[in-house]
Amino acid sequence: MASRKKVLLKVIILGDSGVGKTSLMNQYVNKRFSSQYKATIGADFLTKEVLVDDRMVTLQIWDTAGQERFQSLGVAFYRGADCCVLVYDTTAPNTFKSLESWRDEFLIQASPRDPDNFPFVVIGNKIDLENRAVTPKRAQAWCAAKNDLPHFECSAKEATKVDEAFVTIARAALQQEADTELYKEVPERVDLRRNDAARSNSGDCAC
Amino acid sequence: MDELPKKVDFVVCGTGLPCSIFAAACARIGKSVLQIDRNTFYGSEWSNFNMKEAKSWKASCESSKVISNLKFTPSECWDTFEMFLRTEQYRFNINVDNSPLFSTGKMTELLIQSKATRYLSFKNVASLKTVYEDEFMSVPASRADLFASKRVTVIEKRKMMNFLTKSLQEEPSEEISTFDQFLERFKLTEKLKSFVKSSIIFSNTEDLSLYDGLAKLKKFISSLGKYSAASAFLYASYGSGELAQAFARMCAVFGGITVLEYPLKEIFLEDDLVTSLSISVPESSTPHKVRCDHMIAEVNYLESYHNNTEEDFHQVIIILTDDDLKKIIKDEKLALAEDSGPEPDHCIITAIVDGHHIWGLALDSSSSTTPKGKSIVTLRCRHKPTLDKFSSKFATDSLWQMEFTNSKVHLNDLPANVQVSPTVQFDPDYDYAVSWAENLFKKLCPEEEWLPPMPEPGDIIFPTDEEGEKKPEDPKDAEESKDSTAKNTENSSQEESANAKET
Repeated sequence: MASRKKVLLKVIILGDSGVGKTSLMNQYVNKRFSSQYKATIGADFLTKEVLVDDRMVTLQIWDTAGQERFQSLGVAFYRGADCCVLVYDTTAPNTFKSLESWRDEFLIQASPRDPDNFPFVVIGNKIDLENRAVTPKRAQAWCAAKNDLPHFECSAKEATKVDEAFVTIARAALQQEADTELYKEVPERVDLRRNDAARSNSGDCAC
Repeated sequence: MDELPKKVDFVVCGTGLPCSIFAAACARIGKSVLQIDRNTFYGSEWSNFNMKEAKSWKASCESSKVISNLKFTPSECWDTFEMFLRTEQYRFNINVDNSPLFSTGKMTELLIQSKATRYLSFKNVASLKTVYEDEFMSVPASRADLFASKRVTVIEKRKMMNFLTKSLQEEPSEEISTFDQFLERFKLTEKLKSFVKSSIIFSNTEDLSLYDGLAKLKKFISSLGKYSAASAFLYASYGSGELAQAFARMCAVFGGITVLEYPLKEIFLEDDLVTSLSISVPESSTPHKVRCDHMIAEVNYLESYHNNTEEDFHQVIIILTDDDLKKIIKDEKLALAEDSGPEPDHCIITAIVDGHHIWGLALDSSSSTTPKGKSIVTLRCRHKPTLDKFSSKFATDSLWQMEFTNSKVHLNDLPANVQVSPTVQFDPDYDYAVSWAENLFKKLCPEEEWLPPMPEPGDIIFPTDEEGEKKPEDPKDAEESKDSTAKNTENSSQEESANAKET
């Protein structure tokens, strides 16, 4: 038990621009919300340590860094994802319709070993707004048709259900990681940063 | 869809490695950058693709001046892909310019310095093998390999050890001008000389200067043992095509915009300066016009300036086989290897055949470029017939092959604010790409810092309307708060209240 190695789980958040991907992760990790919309600049990924069923895991949540605006997310972004979060705006039906193509895009680019059972979690954001245009029924029907994807209606602004959604995301990612662990055929990675840190500590870094 | 900018500091045409490094460096310091690519994929001649994408790679080469004589065997190879499971097809990552990195090379140093390493993962290249007199053998470059090798005599071991430990301490003598003359002083046997040339300095040029030769030797020796006692090289998982995407990601994180499948349509000039560019927009008949201070472009975007193409710059062959590498590379079993568990199979392969230097990579699934049980061998040589002959020994169980010529293109005089990026070079690693980007950056953005460390992800403050132009947090501040986690730090909560706006 004690020898269980630290688990790092990669979660990526997809969805049309403006649906609140950055806000959701920022609310979850930093408990912050900024009401102004600004195409994502500077958001890279955020990490958070969480306890999932008595196991400490590090979630690494990757933002699109604005590259979704012109469909220029490269394949490298998708590699090694353990869970994919699909986000739409409950007040904008087009963003809900896009989920289908985001899901397809993920499956093509990330090429998970078992595409039919890869964990996706669907989030409808902005339920704090009045002008709702995607009904829960419609969203649930789509999720049910895709092998019963978990579905949450959230508000990043008011922090509604954000934590609940991410608990499900973390659990799904951990399950996925455990499944792929069986296929591990890759030798240890080299940690360039560790070596880097060792050098800076010894005081001979370039200043 | 969002609007593309109408005016930027830099338009970068092409997403190949040199251009992507440059674009990231400019975005990093807050310059406005628009990077366009005529292809559907990142990386230009440094790209990687899976089997499904081979077709679009082929289409892109048809209008390329850099890559020519592209040939697939079998010619309609995508039809044969159906024999793989759907998920397996995506597990092939064919890297067009696959190269290992020296552990202390310029690229490795830059990745560490800029913290772009967060987007990549690396492995040590397990071994270095050379073909000498038609036999595979491990190059005894490290102390352990040297003692384990049965293919070199005791005297040779002593001489090689002497060379590896003493050569860099030698006082340069005035009578010596070439590296060959320098090698003579160590009284190496022909076999050892071949090892040094093919696999340590990666050059078989007869008149290689002493200066250049020693620089190559120094690079190898300083890299050996940095991350692994037995290897001087690192290998990026999924192949070196990932490097360009890591820099493109960094560019995006700092506000740079990249668009794929947007070909350059027209260049507008005024007094020998580019003032703006017209870019074709997919699924639209109206091109986008963008004004810029500088245009940085790959050769293929400067067609009207092409002069001539140098023939046969270097030939590349990529062979995908149905075999384990162990079956292809029949090397002696190293005595020590048995103690250290199963030996990974991926390796660097080198040879000198008929005076021509050949080098390449042989990769198995541990490289994340092939599914289990399949291998990819990439070889390159400046002489096509030699490469054709040599590569046949890897092709017995070939599923398919791809070969092409990488050429150098000479351009006529360019407008003063246009810069052209280098094409793929023959030698391993990407010193040339880093040097070019760094020199250009220092010329065009003097006084600015060259790819400083990215702040820790949790320290990046998201800009608000009031501070729309606010640059990402000063990296120096980020350094100071290095210990802070992504969670609320004092620093970020202060920033938060500063950024918060009552709604």
